[in-house]
Amino acid sequence: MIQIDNLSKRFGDVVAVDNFSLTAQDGRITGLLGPNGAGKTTTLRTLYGLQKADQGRVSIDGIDIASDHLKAVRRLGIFPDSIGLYGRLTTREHLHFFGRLHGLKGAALEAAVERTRAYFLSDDLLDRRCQGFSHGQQMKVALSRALIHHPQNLILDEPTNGLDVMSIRLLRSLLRRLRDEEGQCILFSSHVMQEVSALCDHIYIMADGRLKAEGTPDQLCDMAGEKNLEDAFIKLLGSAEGIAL
Amino acid sequence: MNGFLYGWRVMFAKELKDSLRDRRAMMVAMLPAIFGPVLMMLMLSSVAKSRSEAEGLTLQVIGQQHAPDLVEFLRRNDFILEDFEGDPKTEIQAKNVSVILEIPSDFAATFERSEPASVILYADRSLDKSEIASGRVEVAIQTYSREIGAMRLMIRGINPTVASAVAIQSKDFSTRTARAGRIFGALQMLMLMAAFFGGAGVAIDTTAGERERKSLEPLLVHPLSSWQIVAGKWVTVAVFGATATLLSVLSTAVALRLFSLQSLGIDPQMTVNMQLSLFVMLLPLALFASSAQMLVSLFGKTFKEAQTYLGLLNLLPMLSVMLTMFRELKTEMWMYLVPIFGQQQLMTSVLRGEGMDPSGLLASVVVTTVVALVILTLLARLLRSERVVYGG
Repeated sequence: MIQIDNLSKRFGDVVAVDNFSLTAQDGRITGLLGPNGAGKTTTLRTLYGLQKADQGRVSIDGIDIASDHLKAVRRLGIFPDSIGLYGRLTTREHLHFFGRLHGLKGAALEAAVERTRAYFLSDDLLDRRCQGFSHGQQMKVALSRALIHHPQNLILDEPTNGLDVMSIRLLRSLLRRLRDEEGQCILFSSHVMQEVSALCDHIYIMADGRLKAEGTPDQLCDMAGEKNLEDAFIKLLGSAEGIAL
Repeated sequence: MNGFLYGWRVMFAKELKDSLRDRRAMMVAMLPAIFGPVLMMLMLSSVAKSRSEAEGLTLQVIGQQHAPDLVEFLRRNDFILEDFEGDPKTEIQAKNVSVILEIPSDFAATFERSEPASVILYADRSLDKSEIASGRVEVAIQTYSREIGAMRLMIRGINPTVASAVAIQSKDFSTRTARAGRIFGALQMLMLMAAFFGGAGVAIDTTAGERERKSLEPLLVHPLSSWQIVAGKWVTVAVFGATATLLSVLSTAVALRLFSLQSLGIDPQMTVNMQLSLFVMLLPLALFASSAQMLVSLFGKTFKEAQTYLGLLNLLPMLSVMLTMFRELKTEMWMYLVPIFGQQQLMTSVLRGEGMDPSGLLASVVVTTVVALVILTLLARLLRSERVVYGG
């Protein structure tokens, strides 16, 4: 479970996040929808402890990220804003490295690599160096990196950016599987409405650093008085600026 | 839970593998260490050769017939005289001859009147060979001039010694190996710089490079302490710095064996013991260079920017050597306390064959290592700062 309580974060005079709260439950896919510049990435960076909150508290499975960073990130799988692969290492070497960082060794490590590979990596990708990978291929490696230690909580920052249709479908079915079979807590941010409406059980709508609305898709439609979830989004946000279909 | 060493080792193993695969960076790091000393010795020994070639100097002369006595004097002083025809300027600039002496036709007349008779010496003093040759000719002619002057005074009934008020007796106490120590200035610089150059590429790649390819953020969201990350990277950089240092020490020893400086009156050699003590003494310098380079690179937003900063940092060894080359400094205790400068003092004493001052060695090793660790602490702190991770 991921919990954000009254988070505020400012950069100089700019308020990036303003008193924002969120709870992502286990066994659910929680979406964070908002236009570019809404404060989604800042919120997530605070979640994985790379930016310190000015106010408020963030915890992963009840562990405070600010006071016990190492323990909290063990329970997190993170697909951050930047993919950042090592061009001279193969996909397998990436998985070995990050698996080892999570304490996996020997047979357990190999098993984890095999499990992750089966999600969506083709065999030929596994032993090639990442230099020259297409954007979609890089995303796959980065996603595998987030999943190698089989984390209870998964945070994804705009995971479908640059993925082709096939890969997006693969990702969606994978996230559903992790939710249904493993009961994982999945939180992902997006500025693409379709992405959120296709996947999420619970949605937080964010603009200008503030919470605009939250609820299940049905609740949001009721709130806005619209039948169509996408119309509801636009109504609740007050504008369609900065978001995509 | 795994301890500090586990995380450190995973980080180190990854960085080592990653860096070793960067073939081009490896070449740039190691080639100067391997070939630098050899090339430097080749240069020094060719200088030595041109000096020894000057022994039986052939001197081109215009107008030998105007001063037979002077000509005879020069012959007695090991000069081989040849008549010269042509334009002195073009021949010298074309490097066909290194020095030309012209005796004007009025030489004899002026000489007879006991007035200073002038001769003209053509040379290009920017060339080593020409500079040495013309120096020798000058000395010979001055000697001749003094002899004639003394004779003229005697003829007039004056004791020639009244004309010289002060006589210098020069006694040179420099030993052969001590003189070699000065020649070694350049080699010293190469060995000091190897500690820096060896790790420079890796230092940039693991800091500014990590930021530029945006892999720092993903790395930091893994259960690793800043210390484990920084220490893992640091040891990787230091391994390359130390390897380059070792290579440059070995290469220097080989170069000294290959090229003789005997014509300079010195024949320095590096024993295995000397090589070993040089390496041990330079090891802390590699540690220091690594952390300093990482710190400087971390402030570069891109690989390019970091390279510029490192270029400046890597001038420090040169500066240190030049300081002592141009100003003879007496070794004092405080010098050992300054990284780079301390190592250089120790190197000088090793190369002179004097052996290292044990307290100086201890001070240098301890202080340099401590400074490296302090910088490392700073790095670990910076790694968690938002400004460093996300820039701006």
